[in-house]
Amino acid sequence: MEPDVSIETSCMIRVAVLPIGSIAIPLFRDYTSMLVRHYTVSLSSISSFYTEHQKSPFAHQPWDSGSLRFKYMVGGSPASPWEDFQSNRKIFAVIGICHCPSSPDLHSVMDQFVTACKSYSSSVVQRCFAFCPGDSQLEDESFKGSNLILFPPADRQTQEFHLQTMMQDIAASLLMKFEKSVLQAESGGTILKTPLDSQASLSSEEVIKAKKRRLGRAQKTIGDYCLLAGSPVDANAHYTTSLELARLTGDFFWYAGAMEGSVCALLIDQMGQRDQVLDDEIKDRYNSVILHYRKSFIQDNAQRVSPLSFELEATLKLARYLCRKELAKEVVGLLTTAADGAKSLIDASDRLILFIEIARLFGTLGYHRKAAFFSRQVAQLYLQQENRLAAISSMQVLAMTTQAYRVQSRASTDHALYQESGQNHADGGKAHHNWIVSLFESQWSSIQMVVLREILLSAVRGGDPLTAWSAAARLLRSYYPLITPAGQNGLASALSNASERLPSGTRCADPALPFIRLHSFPLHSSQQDIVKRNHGRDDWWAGSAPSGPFIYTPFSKGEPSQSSKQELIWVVGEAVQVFVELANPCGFDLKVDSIYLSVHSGNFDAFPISVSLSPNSSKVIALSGIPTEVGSLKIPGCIVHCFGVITEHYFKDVDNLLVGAAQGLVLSDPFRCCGSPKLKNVTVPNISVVPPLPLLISRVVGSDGAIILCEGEIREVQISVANAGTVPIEQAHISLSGKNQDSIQLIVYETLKSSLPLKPGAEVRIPVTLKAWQLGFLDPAAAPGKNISGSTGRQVKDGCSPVLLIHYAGPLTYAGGDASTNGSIPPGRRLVVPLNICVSQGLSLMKARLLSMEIPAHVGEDHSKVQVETSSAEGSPRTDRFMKIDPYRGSWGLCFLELELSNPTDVVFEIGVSVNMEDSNTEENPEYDYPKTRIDRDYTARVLIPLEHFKLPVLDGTFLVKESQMNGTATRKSSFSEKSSKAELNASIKKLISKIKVRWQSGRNNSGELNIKDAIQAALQSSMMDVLLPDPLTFGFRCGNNTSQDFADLNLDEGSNIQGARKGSVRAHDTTPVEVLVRNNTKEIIRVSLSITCRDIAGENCVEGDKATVLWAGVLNGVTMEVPPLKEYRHSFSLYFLVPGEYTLLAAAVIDDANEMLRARARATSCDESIFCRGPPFHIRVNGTM
Amino acid sequence: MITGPTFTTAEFLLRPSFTALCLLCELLRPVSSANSSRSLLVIELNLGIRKMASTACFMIVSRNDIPIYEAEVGTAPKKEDAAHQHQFILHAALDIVQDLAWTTSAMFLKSIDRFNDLVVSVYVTAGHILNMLYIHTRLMLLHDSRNDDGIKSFFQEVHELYIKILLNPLYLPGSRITSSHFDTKVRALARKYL
Repeated sequence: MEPDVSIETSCMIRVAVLPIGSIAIPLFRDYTSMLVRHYTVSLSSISSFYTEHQKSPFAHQPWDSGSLRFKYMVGGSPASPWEDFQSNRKIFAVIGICHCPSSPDLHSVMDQFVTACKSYSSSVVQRCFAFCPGDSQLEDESFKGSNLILFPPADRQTQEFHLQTMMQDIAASLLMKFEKSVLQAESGGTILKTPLDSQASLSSEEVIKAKKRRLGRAQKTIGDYCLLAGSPVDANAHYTTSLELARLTGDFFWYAGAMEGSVCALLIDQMGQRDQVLDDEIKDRYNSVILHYRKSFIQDNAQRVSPLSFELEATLKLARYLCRKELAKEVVGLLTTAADGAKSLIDASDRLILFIEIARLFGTLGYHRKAAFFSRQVAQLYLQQENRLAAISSMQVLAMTTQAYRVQSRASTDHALYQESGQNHADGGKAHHNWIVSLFESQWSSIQMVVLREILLSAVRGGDPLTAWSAAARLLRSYYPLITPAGQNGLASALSNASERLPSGTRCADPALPFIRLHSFPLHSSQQDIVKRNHGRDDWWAGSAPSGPFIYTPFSKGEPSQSSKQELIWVVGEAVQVFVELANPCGFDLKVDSIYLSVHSGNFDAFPISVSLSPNSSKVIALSGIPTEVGSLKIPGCIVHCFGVITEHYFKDVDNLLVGAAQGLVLSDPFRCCGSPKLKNVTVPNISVVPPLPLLISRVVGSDGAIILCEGEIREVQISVANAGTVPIEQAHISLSGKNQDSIQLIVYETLKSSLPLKPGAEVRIPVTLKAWQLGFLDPAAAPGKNISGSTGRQVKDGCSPVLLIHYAGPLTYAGGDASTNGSIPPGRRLVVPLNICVSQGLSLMKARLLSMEIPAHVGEDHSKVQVETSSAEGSPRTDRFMKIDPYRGSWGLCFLELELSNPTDVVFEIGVSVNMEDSNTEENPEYDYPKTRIDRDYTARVLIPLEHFKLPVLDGTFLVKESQMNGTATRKSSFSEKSSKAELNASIKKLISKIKVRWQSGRNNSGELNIKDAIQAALQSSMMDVLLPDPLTFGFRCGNNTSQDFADLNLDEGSNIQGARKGSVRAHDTTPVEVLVRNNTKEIIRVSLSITCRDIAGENCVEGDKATVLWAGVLNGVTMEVPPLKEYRHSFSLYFLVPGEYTLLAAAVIDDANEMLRARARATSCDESIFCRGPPFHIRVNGTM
Repeated sequence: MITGPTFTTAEFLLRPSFTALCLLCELLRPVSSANSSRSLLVIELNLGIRKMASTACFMIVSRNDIPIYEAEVGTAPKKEDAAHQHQFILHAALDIVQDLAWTTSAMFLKSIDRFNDLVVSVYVTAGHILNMLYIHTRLMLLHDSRNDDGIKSFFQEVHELYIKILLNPLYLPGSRITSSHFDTKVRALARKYL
């Protein structure tokens, strides 16, 4: 069988084109391409070369419209055994092509040409075309008139014209030879034989049969020559005769041959005009041709030779003739029949040709899958040949099928187009699904695998490492779930084997492993945040960045539809990172030699890194790089150097794959099978690169990260900020954010402000005073019980620490004055300085409670001591004050605040309590300080704070009256003042509490303050009245020899010569004048009846009764007096102690006509109850006679 | 389309190069051998005695020519290579189906294509007639028997099964049919009719 047969093949004159001498293949191809253009030579053009030697047998030759057709057999072809049967199979002419500069000796060229021609015995015309001869060769006259034709060097057009002339000459010579042959065939008695006829010695019977057939065969041969000579009418006449004769002699094979010839003659005669009638005629005749070829099948020599190939050729010729879309059904039928014949073909190369032709015809018909199917059959036949050339052919043929099987290499597809198709699928729903499905069109995974495997096999055998690599890569990447781990390993080694044969740095369009998807774009690290500058505002950062705790702010101006497409700004010269996730779903260790971001715009320097992935694993890696130029930037994927070849992996591909996996269209999701969580589709933001901006970096001086503070500790830290950019900072502003903002007590803003503009490289230190917060308030987990156990649990929690926000910006125009950035203000930046405060547990307050104590006062001689103290703070040292009890202010019912503190830490704390009396305006030391208390580790200590100083000087009705009303009938009228008084009360409580400061110190440097306000408030809340409000009446005693007249004098004397022994003591058997002082602490006159008793140490009343040991003068009981508001009333009397010892003086008063306020203070239940006021006991020591 | 450079030097070794082909064949994991080999055993027990071994490969091809179900339902001993060849033939036959489906109103297109002694019969669902390409599906059977009636019944019943699958709200039309119930039913029908 022959390739490329058609009905017209019968009328083509075969010309062998051979390279002569040494000639480079591209040059030979070039010359050949000039030659093969002359496949038809019109009869009219050759008439000048034609000389009629005898009367032409071609009586009806169409000299004006006909032409000779040529078929050039480039490289020659072997002689066919069927030359006699179909004359067009003969090689009638041989053309040698010689390139003179490379083969200078023309004689040897001629010799070679003659030798080459010898194998073409049927050739009647030989010419050797020598191109580009040198001058000396042109001058060589010896070849004049021979077959060597020199083509002088000239431009291509001239050469082509020359060649055309030569071809016309050849055509004319051939025509004359055909005439001669026809005349010979008519007269001569040669018996035409085919391989079908028995080759052995003919039996007599067969000789007779052959003789009978001879005439018909001769007529057919003449018809063939007529066709070749371009005379279809003559040919038809001869074929008709031949058909008649062959039919009579039962020579079916030649009958079919003649019929074929007649169809060709018919077609030539029609001059390419086709219509339905002609089609039907040709169909009919060819069906008969096929039928007769089939009939001529002889069982005898079926092993050796068979007319089947002619039958199939005829079928293919008809199919080619009919090959049109509207006749597809018939063509498919013919081709299917032809394919069936393949099994019976003896010669394997015939089968190859058959399949090639079927594939081509299906391809012409538009049946690409059918074409691919037969192409694959061809490839398999090639592969069976087991030689390198066949393997390459197989590979090439398979490469043509890849499109139909959808396994084409990305090199052959327009990737940009493919990417674009994925851009607009935002409408979602079914349309989206349809789009996804169309991406995975014709995914016949098992046959795709087979095709790729065969490409791999043929490429390996054919020695094409790049194709092998690409096929293995496609196979591994797309079908890894269907391949066993052993197979995956095999493919991996195939990849590395192929890469060993490739030069290093080879690029391949088809990516292999790993799968790469975009993980995330870290919007700037908080250190480099870029904030759009709001020009014209002082706080230029406001409104540009989302502020507040809400992700969505209804007031932000962004278009909701485009919100997903975020903008990303990168700065020239500042390294950026992009996170990608790699997955290796295969069963081998994958070593990625280098991977980096692929940026086509050329304004990005990517830094390669190398990764290795264990089997079935995925990894998120950060790929970094530096933008180098201003402009927009797109990152379509990554460049990967893996398995020795450089490939580009597009994120889009993997995204599509993942979507396909989600829709059940693809076998498996490579990331999910590696255990990676499902990731939301990451959209690639629009990245724009802007010119350099200033860059602040910060660090906390003297700490390598966290600032460790105990609870309540106060410390000043310094935050150093430096400009690491290349642009000076002209504006800067510090603000606070985050939790525990109140732990920052002081920021020295001026330090930063004063150092502006901050030049590149400059550094400034900002002092910040911190106070550690309480752990327990933040973290309920750090329960008190846990604290007691002594575990010094350090509470570090993200987001607990406050954050300093520094908004800063460079100058208002870009440094370079770039045209590209015209008119836009360079953005500012935000530096987030997280104050990484780590609060460790410090002293903890166990309990705070109010203690009342009753310490009896001694009857003093210095009444005015209090007055002295309160009027001026001079005098006694301050430490005295703590224990000093003011006899007139009621040492009875003395209140202490007891704080129980425990130290669960491993350091020692010292506690100092100070009470800040704000009403004492003196500069020196407005505080009461108490001695320091040391609390060792793991110990608990109590600190007492006397609350004596908090008493209000006046018992004001406002608090009490309202309170009582609240208890009783709360009227609307009073509600306002009620509230205000309540607030007043609260305020005074707060004031009281804020006066108390519990400071601690630990070690040398750490100091702080306990935050115990709440605890104190809780402790005091219930008995606040008692603490704050003085009793309405206070009592005091004084004894001495002096009369009331010279009271003040004595007072001064007493103050000057106080004797410890005498002080506060009286002698027995002596009349001792005693004064009782009743002080009215209210603003109204109180009428009281006072009574005084004296008790001895046993508590017996020793003034009255039978065994009175104390004599008295004056009134002791029922002393009625009116005490003016805020004034004292003295009542004098005398005592005479009979027995020395300890006595106690008690004063008590019944208030007459007590008002509301007093009742409320006394918590009286009924209004007619008498209010009884009792003073504190006073000790008096009576000495015996000295 | 095809220009093989080695037509002239046709030195053929007709011995098929199994060694090379088999090397890579081993790499491929059998797609559905786990369940089909078991049912194959059953078929051989039931029918193997009565019938000659037959070849049959059944596929459902969804729109966009995506195969959504495939099963080797023949009784002939399975060969990996043959199974691929069957799919290749069915894939190629799609070209003919796409033209033929528009020329007839019949749903069952019998013997529309063949290669060697394997015949392709196709049952086209009504999707294309109603211009609902969304559910345009072709049930394709590659077989070597000529039992047209049986094939037709097989197709009709499988079509019903397929419609049931389509009605499943959780099934996305166009995605693979992974229901084992469907698989079992199809194989049972194949045993019954083919």
